[in-house]
Amino acid sequence: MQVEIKDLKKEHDEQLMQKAGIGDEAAIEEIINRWKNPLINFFYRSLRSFEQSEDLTQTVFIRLYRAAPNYVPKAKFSTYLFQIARHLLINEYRRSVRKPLTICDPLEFTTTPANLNNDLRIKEIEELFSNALDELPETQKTALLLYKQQELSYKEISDTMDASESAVKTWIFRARQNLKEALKDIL
Amino acid sequence: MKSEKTNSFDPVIEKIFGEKVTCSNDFTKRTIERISMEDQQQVDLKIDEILKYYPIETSTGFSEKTLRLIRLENNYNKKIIPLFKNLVGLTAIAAAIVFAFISVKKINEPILTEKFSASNKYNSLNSIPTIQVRNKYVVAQNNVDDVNKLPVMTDIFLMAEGLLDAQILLQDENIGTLAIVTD
Repeated sequence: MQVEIKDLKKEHDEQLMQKAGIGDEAAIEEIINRWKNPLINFFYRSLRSFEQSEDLTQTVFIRLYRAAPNYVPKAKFSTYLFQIARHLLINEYRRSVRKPLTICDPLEFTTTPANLNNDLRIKEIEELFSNALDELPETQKTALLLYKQQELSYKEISDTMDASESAVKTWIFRARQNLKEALKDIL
Repeated sequence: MKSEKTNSFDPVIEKIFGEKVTCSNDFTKRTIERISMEDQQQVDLKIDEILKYYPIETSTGFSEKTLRLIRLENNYNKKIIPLFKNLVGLTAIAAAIVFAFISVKKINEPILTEKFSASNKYNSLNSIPTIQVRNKYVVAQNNVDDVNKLPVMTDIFLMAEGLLDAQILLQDENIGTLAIVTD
């Protein structure tokens, strides 16, 4: 069993997906372990709610498992994964328009956030940064997060967001400009 | 192209090099621009740094919970859905049997036949006007002198379809009695 897990760790996401497609539970578990933190942070930067982010992360994996039997690795796995994530995020935005979200401070969670730092300055920057990010249009925010947080290429982002590469570049540029403007007093 | 020289000099540069040097006219402007650009790059780097930082991580047991959900869904797909499909199939079969039973019962409904048979006036088909509807007849009572005056009632013709035995369809004092008998 230990040997099997070690082997899975070496495998590409695409290979794991194909294994998950034939019901290999260890393969889907490896995918969950690899992608849970990138996904929850992607959602968290957009929604600012830990619980919603965790729910959506879980939904992504369930959808991924459902889709695994029919998965054909046409593009990079992360493109496929964030396509699902973005669809869920857009649905969540639509839902939250009807029912406003309750914004929670991540430091108030009972769970332990990574690298928890009590420095008020960091907390303040984080708060202002989140507010500034919140103000960005969905396209700008998603493009910037995929580019910087998830380190996807322009091509991968354009596939994920179903847009041209030049549109993606423009969104990222504008997102940066808007963030700089909003954060000029603290950075 | 070499930029135009002037006699002005930058005191900082003079201090570094220990002698008076001349700078291009736009030296200060370019330096400020460069500082500003570097500042901007610094801001960019800070933004990137914040973006790359993961402020949260999933709660303890997240993977296990997700796997449990996947297992539940798996079981649901493997066991409940086929069962549900079987139930739907069985229900459909049961409904078809009940429907067939009701239809047969309706077809063999004796009351209507008895009503028709009870009237001696209609014993002979020859004595009353008839309208053929496929292989069935709409039979009218004698007091309707012209069969063409009978109201063409689509419903009656439709009702004639599928009837195996005589059946009174309408009793009206002006029209008379309409009935259907099998050919």
